[in-house]
Amino acid sequence: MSLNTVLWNVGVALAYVVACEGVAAWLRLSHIPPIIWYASGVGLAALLLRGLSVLPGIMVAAFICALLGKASPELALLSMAAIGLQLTFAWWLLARVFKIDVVLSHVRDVVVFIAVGCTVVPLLNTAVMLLRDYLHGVANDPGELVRSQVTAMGEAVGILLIAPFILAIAAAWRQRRSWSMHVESLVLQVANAAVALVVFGGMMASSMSAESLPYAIFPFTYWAAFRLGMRDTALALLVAATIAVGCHSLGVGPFVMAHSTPANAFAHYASLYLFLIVLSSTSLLAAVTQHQREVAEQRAREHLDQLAHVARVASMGEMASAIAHEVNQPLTAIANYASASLRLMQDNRMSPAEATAVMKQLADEAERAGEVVRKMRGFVRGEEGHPVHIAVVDLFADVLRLSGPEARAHDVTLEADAGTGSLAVTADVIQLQQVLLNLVRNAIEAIASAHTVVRQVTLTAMPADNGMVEMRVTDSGPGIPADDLDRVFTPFHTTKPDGVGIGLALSRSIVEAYGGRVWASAAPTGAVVHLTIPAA
Amino acid sequence: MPASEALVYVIDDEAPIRDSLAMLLRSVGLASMLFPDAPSFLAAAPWRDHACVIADVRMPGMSGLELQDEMRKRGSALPIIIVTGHGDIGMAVRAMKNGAADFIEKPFNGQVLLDAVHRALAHAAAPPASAAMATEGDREDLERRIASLSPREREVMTLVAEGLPNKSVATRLDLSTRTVEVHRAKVMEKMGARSLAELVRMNIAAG
Repeated sequence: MSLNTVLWNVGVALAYVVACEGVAAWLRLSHIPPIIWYASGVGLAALLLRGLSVLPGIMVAAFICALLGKASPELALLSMAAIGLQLTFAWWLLARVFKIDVVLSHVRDVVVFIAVGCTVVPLLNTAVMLLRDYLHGVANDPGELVRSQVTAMGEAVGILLIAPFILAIAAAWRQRRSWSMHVESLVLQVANAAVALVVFGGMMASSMSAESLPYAIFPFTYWAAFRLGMRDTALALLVAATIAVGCHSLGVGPFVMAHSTPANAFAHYASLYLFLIVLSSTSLLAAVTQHQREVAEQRAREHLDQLAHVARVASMGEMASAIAHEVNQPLTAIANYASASLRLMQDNRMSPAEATAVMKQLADEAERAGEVVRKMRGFVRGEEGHPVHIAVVDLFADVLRLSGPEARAHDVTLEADAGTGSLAVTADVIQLQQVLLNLVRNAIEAIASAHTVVRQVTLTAMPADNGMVEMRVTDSGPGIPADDLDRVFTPFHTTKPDGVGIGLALSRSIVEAYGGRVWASAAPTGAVVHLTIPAA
Repeated sequence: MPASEALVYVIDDEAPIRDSLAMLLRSVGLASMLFPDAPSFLAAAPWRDHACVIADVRMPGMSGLELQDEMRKRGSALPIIIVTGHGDIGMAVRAMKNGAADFIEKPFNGQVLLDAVHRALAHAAAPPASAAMATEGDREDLERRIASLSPREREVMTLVAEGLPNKSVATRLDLSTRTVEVHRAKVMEKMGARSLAELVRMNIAAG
């Protein structure tokens, strides 16, 4: 057992005990005992995230909780075994039979999770409790039957609330958010909690219709679902539901009937739980639907960017071909005239008048070739960029996004380190992207063609002398032969079977247009291409 | 037959190419007739027997390849030299298989073109019998040369003679471009071919 696994088990056990004991403490304070049971949700989320390796931690925690609940050691052992079995069975159904994605990124995953996670564990738990009651001879007590059903619903709500929250946090652990998103999230959560307190804390005038009051929560969880994602939705649900059940357990809120006694108030939990299950299920489904749509849109955008890039590269090839064809014609005529003149003049068969005419032709044809070159230059100048301030972090992020599919296709790991501080350069975004994409693509192709074991391309940036920023593209490919280090940037130098040899040459002319430099060097393994661009 | 009677029909849609070719031919004492497109050349039939045709492979209206077909249909045996621009080698090889005498890539060396023209005119002037005999002798020579190639060189020759650039040959055979260049030079040397056109012709003759 690795240290990592041990630490995970300890962590999960602690979380489980906290979830149990927190609720137990709450239970002692409440007027009406059955409340949300979070511990099963914690255990199920842990199993989904880490697999059966954390089962020992959960079972030990369940045993400790049972002992803390003043159960006899035998009963604690039975409880531990029952909880272990229930959770393992639910995990097996979700992860093995339905094979859901634990980040809950698809509608199907959420539907299966709600259907399986919230029924299997509570039903099994009810069965165990009924069995226990039967063994203790308290069966057929109608009050006890209702109690066990409501407890089961409380457990279902607990799973529905806590597990998606834990899974969403695990999935979005490294997700970066803008400041405005952080602010919006904070405003939403505070507003949601406040409204939940007003609605469920019985702070509204009693003249209000109690039945319709709980719907005030929906706008907040849907706001989270459509604008902020699964994590905020799950958190808003967790907070609202905890407040709702907490208030209800203290005997206040819209689900407490006017003339309720502890006995029938207990039964009113059922309608509260039903409300919470509907709220949670629809909000979670809305969040995952929105997420799926965003992912699809993102894919479509990436695809368009890719197409644009491919089109740019292709038009470059076409341009090279067009230049070749256009320059070929005058060149052929010049060669013919010159060759003929040489022969005629050697034999003294050319009159000065004829020589003059030929010279004129030569000049015309040379002019024509020059015109082609001028036109091309004009064309390229027309696409000249507009230098702007570019943060290297953003530039690298774009390059990673655009090169991602190609890197994945060749099983190459692509990483970027934009350096410390906030490095920025002044250049045209598209042009600089083009240069880096070209270099990254070359690096990926070099690795792919050489079938190297280590498959890694790294982008790095650092400040350089004379107010420049240096960027490096390092690959773990076969490297560049020492003789070729200077030649790789020459036009039409290529080592690729279908290459034109224009990519690096074009990269060099773009970089040099900004007063930068580009060169290649050998890495310990592979090659490094360096380029400098004026810092912003 | 005296060379002065020989005539070269030049068909190219670009005036500077036509005019400069005419001057090049005149510099070695060859007469030429110039046409801006294939139909006007076809309209000038009947053509002189002791002649050859220089036609650009890409022309608006009727391409060099279509012209070649049309001439064969009309029973003309005039040798045709196909001139190709950038990236048209595949078309040139097709023309050779169709019976073109030669092909030349633009931009070309004047001497290479004149050599091709002289060969074509000699072929046009040669009586059929002696041509057949020469072919018989050539055939044995050709087989001997092909036998001297290594299996790899044979593969390279076949693909190169299909008009594929070295890079594509390298990809097909899973070799480096450099290796293909070396093999190709070896093939040219062993086969005694001075140009790609000659190699293509040999490959066609060898079947």
